[in-house]
Amino acid sequence: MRILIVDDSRAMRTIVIRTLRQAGYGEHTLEEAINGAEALKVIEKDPPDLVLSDWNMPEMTGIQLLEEIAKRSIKVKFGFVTSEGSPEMRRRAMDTGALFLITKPFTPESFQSTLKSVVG
Amino acid sequence: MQVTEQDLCQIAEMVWTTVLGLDVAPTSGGASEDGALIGCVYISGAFDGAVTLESTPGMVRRASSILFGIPEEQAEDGEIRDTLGELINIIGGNIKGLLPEPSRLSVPEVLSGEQQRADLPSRCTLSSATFRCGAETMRVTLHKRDDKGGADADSDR
Repeated sequence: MRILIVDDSRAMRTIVIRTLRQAGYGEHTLEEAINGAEALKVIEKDPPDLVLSDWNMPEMTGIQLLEEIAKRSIKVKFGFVTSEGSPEMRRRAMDTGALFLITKPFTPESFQSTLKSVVG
Repeated sequence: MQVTEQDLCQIAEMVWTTVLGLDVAPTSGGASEDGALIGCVYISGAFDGAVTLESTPGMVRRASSILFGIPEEQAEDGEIRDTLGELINIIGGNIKGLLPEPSRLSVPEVLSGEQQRADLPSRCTLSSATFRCGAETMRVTLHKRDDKGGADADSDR
């Protein structure tokens, strides 16, 4: 399985990768993108199995990325990993097509319990 | 809803423990001013203000070392700024959850000395909490924009 991690912070991409490994997903191919625009190029060329995206990023936000994916009818499992988890954001995320929203800070256990139902 | 010092303490402790694996304890007094680094996120909308994390350089360097898996002395400026930015992003996002909605969170910034002098005085402090992690200190502050004619510093955010 290919997992694309999208976040403008290299520190956070490192944390997500570390947490994925601790949650038992380390044997999968983990790829990175620094913002929504770069992620969209990757997804258009060869859609990964799962996208884990931050919400707030320069150039193209996570929600803008998801909207562009939907416009292009690209089938990809998508979830947010973000510092904000307000009911309004969760609603907007799900209405746009996200499968889940994990809030920071997160633990390997929260990744496991969320991702298990999405990718097994 | 009022965001109290206790709220700031709980959020900062949660972030330090979960993200860095470090224990922190509230302490009295301000964070050390000498060379303090300041990370900032702005909140706009139903609430108009900012959240700042002031930290000793040693604390941010230690955090960078943990996050990037490198010796502290090898942490470069870019990694230190990235680390501080992500820590304030997480803290700010969690504090935003306690504030009136709908509001937006900006991307994080690490403030230069000039930005600190230009921007932060236009805001009043709603609550603040100082912490100690070993020999290092940091302070989390929730600011509200001063409606009494402070500089309109974030009108284009």
